[in-house]
Amino acid sequence: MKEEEKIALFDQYLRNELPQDERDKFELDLNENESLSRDLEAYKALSAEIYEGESYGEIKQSLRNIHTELYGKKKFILFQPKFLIPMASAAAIALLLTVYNINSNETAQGDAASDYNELTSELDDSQTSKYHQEEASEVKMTSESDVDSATTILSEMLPISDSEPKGSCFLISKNGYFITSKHLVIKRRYVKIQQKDRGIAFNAEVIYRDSASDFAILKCSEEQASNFSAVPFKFYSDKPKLGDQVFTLGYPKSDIVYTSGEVSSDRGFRSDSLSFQITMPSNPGNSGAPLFTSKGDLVGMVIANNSKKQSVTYVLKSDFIQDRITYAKKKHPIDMSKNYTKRFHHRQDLIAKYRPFIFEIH
Amino acid sequence: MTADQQIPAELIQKIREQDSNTLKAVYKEVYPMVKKYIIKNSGSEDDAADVFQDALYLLIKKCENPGFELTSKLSTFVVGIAKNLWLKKLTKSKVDLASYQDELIIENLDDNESIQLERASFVKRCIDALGEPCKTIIVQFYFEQASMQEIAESLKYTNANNAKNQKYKCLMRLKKMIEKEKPVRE
Repeated sequence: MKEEEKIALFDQYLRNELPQDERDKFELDLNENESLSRDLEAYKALSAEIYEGESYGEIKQSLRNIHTELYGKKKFILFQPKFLIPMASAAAIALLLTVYNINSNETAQGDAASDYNELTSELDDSQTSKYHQEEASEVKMTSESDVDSATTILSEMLPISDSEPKGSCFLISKNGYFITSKHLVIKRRYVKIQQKDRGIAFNAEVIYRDSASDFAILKCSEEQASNFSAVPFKFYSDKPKLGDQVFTLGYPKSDIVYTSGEVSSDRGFRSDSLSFQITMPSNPGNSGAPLFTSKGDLVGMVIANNSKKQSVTYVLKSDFIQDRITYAKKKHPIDMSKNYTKRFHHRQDLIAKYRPFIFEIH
Repeated sequence: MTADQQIPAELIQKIREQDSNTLKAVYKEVYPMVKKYIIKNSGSEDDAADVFQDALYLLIKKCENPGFELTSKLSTFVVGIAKNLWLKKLTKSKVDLASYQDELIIENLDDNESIQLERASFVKRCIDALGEPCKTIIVQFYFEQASMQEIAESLKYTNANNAKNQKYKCLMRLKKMIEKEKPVRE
């Protein structure tokens, strides 16, 4: 019996949909065939787990609604259960999925989890605690006063930082939505975005964190957004192919840096199917940077490198990014209009055109 | 009437049914205590809400057990669960727990429950990560217990058989994601 038929039969049996004679026959089979009854038990356990998982999600959601009702919306960005990943830090989860995998096939794959490097610039302890303090005071502010303060935080013009950026992000919508790497925005509701060379710095709010991958969406104020025009690049319509030439523009230091490479594998770290691998040197700060094909189509977003293997960089696939944006659009009016009328023959022209859409995250 | 003043058996019954007025009353009464505790112990307000909601989830699950009885005031009980959950999280993030040791109240949170909680939350994340239409199909079939016919209609499949094939594929994807985590149990 094929696996698929087996599951269908289990479903019918468990839901009492089998006619009496087939039911009797199936129960007889169960008695005689130990592996069949083991499979049935495993399937029941899996069904129960799915039920429990969804039940947890529904209960949490209704409790979050109660929270909002009692204490107002400000403290909670209600965006599906995904947002509420506990202390175990958002980015860790994407990693956990891979890390858990190790036990089963460590030898087969030979990549240790510790080789996976998220490309965040290191902060020393003093800086980290400063971040937390700043964050704490911000949070306090929002809980005390109301919507106004959130608006203030977002509309403020900020001084330009001279420090090394934590990473990169880029505009995807002229009404002020950016995408970046989730590990750059852990436990932060607002992040500072800047372009030093153009003297722009402002806050953006983290409006979406993906539960399964290293992906987040940020939004800046309408006011800031009025300075942006539609993005000049479109999503690459094909899958990345081995050997494709690619390049990125990111902020491994406080000035934008161009780096090029080529697609070397269509799966990412430990065969992760949401990402792919390129041969391109990358540094902390490259995380969250867009990756383009030689023609200038967006083919992904840089998320990590491999500390053991030189020049191995992992990139989140653009079809996955598009899927998540479509999902986020249910709640947010993300305007995806494009402005890519003219094709450029020289990469220098492409870069000049794209550069204003790529920002530092502090 | 506050939740603590209600007759325990009725209260348990209402919590089991997830009666929204009851849950709201419990939330209003107990959340401030949990929030105070967590913020005092190096957590944020978001942490407090998250941990408190997890504690309420566990409370609901406990109330689903036919033999369950409240041995203390409800508020004390929920605060106890929340403290334990929070201390567990702190342990994971390698905070020195020595100073908290005497506060650990093990009795109302056994390991199984916190494992159950983590597992449920993990499975939920996997379900969400499936994307559409898989998420809807899986939720409708395994949670709402809808029939294949109903699912086919709601998702506009031409017949129940197509929906069944699709459900099988979705299930296999989900299974693969869920099984990735299996080996890890401390």
